[in-house]
Amino acid sequence: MPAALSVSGLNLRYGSQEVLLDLSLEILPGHILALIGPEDGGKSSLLRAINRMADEEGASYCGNILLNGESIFLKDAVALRRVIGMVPPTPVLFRGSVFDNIVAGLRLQGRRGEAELRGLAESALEQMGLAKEYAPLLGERAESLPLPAKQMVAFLRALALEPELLLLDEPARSLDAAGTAHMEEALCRIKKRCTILLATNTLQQAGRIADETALLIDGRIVEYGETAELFSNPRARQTEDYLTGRYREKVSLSL
Amino acid sequence: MMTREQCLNFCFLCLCALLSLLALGLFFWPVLRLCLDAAALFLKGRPMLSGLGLNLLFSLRTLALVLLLVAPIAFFIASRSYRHAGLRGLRATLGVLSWLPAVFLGLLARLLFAEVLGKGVPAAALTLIFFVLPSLTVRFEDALRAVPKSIRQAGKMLGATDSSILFRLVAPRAAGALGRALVLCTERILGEATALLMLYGAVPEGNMLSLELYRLFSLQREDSLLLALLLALILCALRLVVSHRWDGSSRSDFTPSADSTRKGS
Repeated sequence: MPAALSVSGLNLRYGSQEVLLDLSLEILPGHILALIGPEDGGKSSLLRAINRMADEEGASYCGNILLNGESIFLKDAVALRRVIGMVPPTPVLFRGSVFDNIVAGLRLQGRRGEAELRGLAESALEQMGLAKEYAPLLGERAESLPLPAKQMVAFLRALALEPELLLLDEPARSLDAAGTAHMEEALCRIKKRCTILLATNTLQQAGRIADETALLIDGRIVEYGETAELFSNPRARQTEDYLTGRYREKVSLSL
Repeated sequence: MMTREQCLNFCFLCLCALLSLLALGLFFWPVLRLCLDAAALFLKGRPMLSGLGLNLLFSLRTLALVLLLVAPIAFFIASRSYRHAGLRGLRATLGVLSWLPAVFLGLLARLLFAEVLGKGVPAAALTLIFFVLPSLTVRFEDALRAVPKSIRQAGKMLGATDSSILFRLVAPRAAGALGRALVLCTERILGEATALLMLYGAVPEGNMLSLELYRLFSLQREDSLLLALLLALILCALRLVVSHRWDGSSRSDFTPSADSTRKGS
């Protein structure tokens, strides 16, 4: 089966600072790939390279990224972001109601039909399993919601765009245990429709929902493979250290 | 029974209240006198407003022309100057223009187009454009930059184009500051006399209100007080209207929100 996303020999730098080094990986359609690793390991930078948000910060690339067989660098960045949804770690909501926020991306892309917007918003709510909970909240001001609900709205906003690829950067950072469990269940449903790349600091979360996992340290992939295999039988010493918590001990000792 | 500390606090509060009243009195007394003088002039039935209609019309036409030209140009430069190198050059030129005194700008305008355009609205408008464009551009830039970068980024992540982000996310959030910048610009246009004096060399009849005010003052006529009050009232009214109308803090970033909210709930 051809990969939905294929990264090959990717190097990313901001000025003289190398952020990603010779990075290669593939995600099959309908799979979840988890990126794990310490802070500043390059997880978020990889996500921002894939939807070319890194372009806005003056990044330069070497290597290639193929989305459904087409190089993302040959596509217009705006057109690319219309098929790649992204949920950042901290939700940024716009002024207006919850409904306005869920359909914000659609409106910004010039889609105006109220019936179409409503249908896509309802579809996103159903995919997330939030149709009952959020229906009474659609008219509420989004900015007055608590942080976990805001994060869910940011999630719904990305889903309403019906993306081919969903990039999630620490999506559960502001969720409690119940919210995280709900989101993970939803991700397992959503992955049938779109491929998911998940950057997370929570090893358990990667273990629960990811089909494949990649460990990124200092901008390099240390190990990459099926999640069960990587967690139970790590090949690299650094992976074993990271999974058992010794990597952190080493870092703090070196500090 | 009050303690010593409570007594001291009470005395301090009384002193503060007295000082506040004094400050308010000092500020309002001249304004009150001006109003009374103006009312007295009205009651005497003197032909104070003769010819003022022409000045007002000229001022409004000039104001409309300047704002129509200067607002889009300033907005265009402000919204793009940090991205395009070519516009950065233009922005730097405007920076130099903003340092030049009104006297010099008036002289420059006289040399450039007074002969060609005469003493009508176009000559006054062009001079005032030179005068207000730099400051308006800087204020527009500040207003747009005050919108959090995260809002632009969120828009980009959703696949919005630059113009869509500017007009649908950034500009509505900056509407209050943009409106205030326009009012300041209006105040400068209506209040500017030096540059226009340099442009014309003398005070022509039926020109800007500010020039008429200067003429009346130089003739030591009481009417000048009334004109000053009229100008101040117009500007105060404008400021009030703008601060109420363009305070966008409670509005949605998306215009159709009212309908959708109703349907949604």
